[in-house]
Amino acid sequence: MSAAAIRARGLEKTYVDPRGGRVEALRGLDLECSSGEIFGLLGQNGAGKTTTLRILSTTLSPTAGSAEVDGVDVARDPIEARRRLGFLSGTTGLYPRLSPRETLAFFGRLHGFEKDELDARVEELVRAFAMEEFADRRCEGLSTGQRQRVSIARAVLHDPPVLVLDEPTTGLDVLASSAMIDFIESARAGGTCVLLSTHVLSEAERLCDRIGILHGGRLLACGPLDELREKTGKVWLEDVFKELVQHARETTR
Amino acid sequence: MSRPGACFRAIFGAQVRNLLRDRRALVAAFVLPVLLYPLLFLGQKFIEDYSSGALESRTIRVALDVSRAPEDMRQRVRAAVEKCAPIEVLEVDAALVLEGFEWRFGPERNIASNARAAARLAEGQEALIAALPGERAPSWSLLTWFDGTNDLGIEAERRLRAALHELEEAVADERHLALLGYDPARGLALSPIDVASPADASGSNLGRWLPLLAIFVLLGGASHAALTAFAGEREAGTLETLLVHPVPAVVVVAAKFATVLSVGVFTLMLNAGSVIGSLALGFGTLPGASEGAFALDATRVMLGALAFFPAAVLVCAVLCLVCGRARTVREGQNLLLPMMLVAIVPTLPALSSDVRLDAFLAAVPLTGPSLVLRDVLRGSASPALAVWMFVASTAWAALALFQLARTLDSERLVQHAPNEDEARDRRLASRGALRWALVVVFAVYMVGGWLQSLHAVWGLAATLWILLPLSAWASARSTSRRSGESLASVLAWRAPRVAHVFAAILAAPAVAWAAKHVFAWQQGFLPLPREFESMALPLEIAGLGIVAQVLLLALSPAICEELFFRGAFLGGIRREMSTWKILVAQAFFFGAVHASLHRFLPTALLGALLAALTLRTRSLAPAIALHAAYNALLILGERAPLLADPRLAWLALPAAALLVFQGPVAETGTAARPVSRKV
Repeated sequence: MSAAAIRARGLEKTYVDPRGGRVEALRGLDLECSSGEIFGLLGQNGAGKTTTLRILSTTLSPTAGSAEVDGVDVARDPIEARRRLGFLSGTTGLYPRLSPRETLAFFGRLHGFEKDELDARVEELVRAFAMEEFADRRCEGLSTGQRQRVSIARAVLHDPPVLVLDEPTTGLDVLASSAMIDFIESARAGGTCVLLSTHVLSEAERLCDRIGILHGGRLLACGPLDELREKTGKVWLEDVFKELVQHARETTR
Repeated sequence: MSRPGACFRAIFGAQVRNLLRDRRALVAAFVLPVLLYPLLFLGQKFIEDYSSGALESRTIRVALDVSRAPEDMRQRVRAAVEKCAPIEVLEVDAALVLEGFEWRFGPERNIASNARAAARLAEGQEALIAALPGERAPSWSLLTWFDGTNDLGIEAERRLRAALHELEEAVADERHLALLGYDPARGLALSPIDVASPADASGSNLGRWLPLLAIFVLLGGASHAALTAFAGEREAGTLETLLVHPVPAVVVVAAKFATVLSVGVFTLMLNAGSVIGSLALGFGTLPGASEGAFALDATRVMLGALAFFPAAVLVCAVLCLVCGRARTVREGQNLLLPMMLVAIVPTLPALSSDVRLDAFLAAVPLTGPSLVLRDVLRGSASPALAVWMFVASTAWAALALFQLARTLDSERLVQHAPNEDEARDRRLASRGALRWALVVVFAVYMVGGWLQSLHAVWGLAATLWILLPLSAWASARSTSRRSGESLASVLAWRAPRVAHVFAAILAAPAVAWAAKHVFAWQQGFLPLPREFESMALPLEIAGLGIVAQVLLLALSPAICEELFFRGAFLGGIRREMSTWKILVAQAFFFGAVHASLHRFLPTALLGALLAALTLRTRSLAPAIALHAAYNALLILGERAPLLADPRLAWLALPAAALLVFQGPVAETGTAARPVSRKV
């Protein structure tokens, strides 16, 4: 059996907050995602979604537990983990005074591409994401949708086996959101493992092979949507989500 | 496989390109300096020439009354005055002005005459000249009234003084000849000869101004680059984008620092080149320049640049450190402003040619390089001190770079601003703490003063051990309730790093030395009344043994005052105020609580220093240690001269190194501090 593309075991994350207290953002999270699968992480604000994705992308270190990306432990070898991962979130920005072509070339160099190989890859991405029209304009002058295309191209530049997307459609208009959804589906078709956090439940219903509901740093339930429906007796994902969170609150009260 | 070298070059290239495409940065850092100095010098010269030329060509109107001069002199005075062309002379009768003039008051104190002359001048003349018999015949005087607030009046006085001085000398020579038959001044000729070469003279003048200019330019040029590379990228999210790519954070920091340093050094070179070029081309002169053409030895310039390089590295590293802490460009600008003002201070000694470089000053960051640059340019640098400065400055820069390497802590970078509820809680806590500080100051005045009037020793002990701890507890409890912080956290009551406590004790002699000098400087405008000098300590306290004095005057204030001021008060305001405001508030209230106008400045500065120490170390213990050691030195210094030895101030250098570089970058503001270990 091939190794899971993403694997987290007993992941914990604790913050010391300015008031002198502590915040347990994650309390023993177990997670596994396979290649060619889209896994959706759903949860309220503060449930631990972004913390999970940031631990996987190596910008945060776990307080306890372990996480692997394509078989690489993120805490032990973060540089290698980053090579196998494409990360995209609302907070990952682009250099305003570089053009999309320069942006891709810059990040390509960080991934160790040689010049010829890099040039070819940049042109391939410019065509694949239909950026010919604005590939030489500065990013500061691009529309939100155009910038999002550049960001996606940046995240998949090195053709990573794992894609981690934190609320990728937030702030996008309908067309740009639709293009993002098409891209995520095409990534799955190409055998990439996609871990996705979102607030848009319709997106999760349409895209995700499996869904994990996070609450208070714990995974309340995890499985295909039908399995969650069966477990809660609800049809719509929104109701499934509410039912699980309500039950968790009653249990912890 | 990406190599660190290739990543460094890629990031450096992207940063430089990003900056070069910013027109405002380009104009401020590169274009402006090239044009600014020539234009500034030419403008200054033009205004000076124009203003003196314009005044010299204007006709002055002078009212003249020589009726009281000796008869043979009247025509000579008229002739001398006529030489101040272009001039209009109006013969008048100055009797009204001279009425009541009395020599015993001196010309300036004949207020009534001067007032009448002023009224006469208001009628349209720039000057009024009147001859008056002197105190003893046959001498006589020429009085010139003019209006010093009027440019043309000053010009009239200048021209008349020159012409009449010539007449005065001629009359004196004639008298000498008539009375003695020869000039008694003959045989003494004064001929000053400046032994400084043109290069020395030009270098000396430039060397006084260049360090200050260099720091200004470095801070101005590199700060924009540092803000863009760190705070700006953090705000725009590009820093997070960089950190999810396979590049070690230290390579990212190194490339960004190299960008900032390159921009800073390039801007500095352009500015210095522009200034030196403008001076060499004779576009203008710096203040205090000697007569003669500007000449500068190229070797000295090169050596000066080399000597100043570690200072440039240090400045740029500190800029990056500060900007690396800011979450937004605006926050970065707020942090940089006070830093820029403070950074200029160490370069000021170079402005004075009297400040001599010694081993201590050579080791002080920015002061050492500034003085060496000044001395190198004027050709009087000591090679040994220059080498020592280079070693010390390189060490400071290396320590700053070492600290900088840990700046891009991704855990800290991805933290977000607090929500509105937290902001409101912090504001309320801060206001509460300020109110408590006010209450404590008045309580110490009223209650403490009353207790000490009953009995100096027990009154002071009660003030320190009852009034202050109770106030600290009440204030901290109020802050704790509002902010949700634990009482110990508000009071910074946590275990310190041993190195920080050690550093605080090492710093005490320097603080005592500095306080002594501040006090001496203050004596110049706020002298301590004699009765205060003789009543330094109340008799009951002065009669105590040395151990009891140390306990009462050193240890007790250190613990109790720190508990309130650096504990409860600082704990209440530190989440709401900027560092700068915190230091000002701490200085004010700590100075005020000592209830003495003469002690206000030294104690206020001590309060700010102790607050900075607590913010840096995040523990009350180092402030208590420094406060106790400082007070103990003041008490014991008179009995043990060894403890008052000014050379002990040198210990401040290792203390500063331990405090600055031992432990993580100080966390202030409101960001949460995540931990990556089990807690």
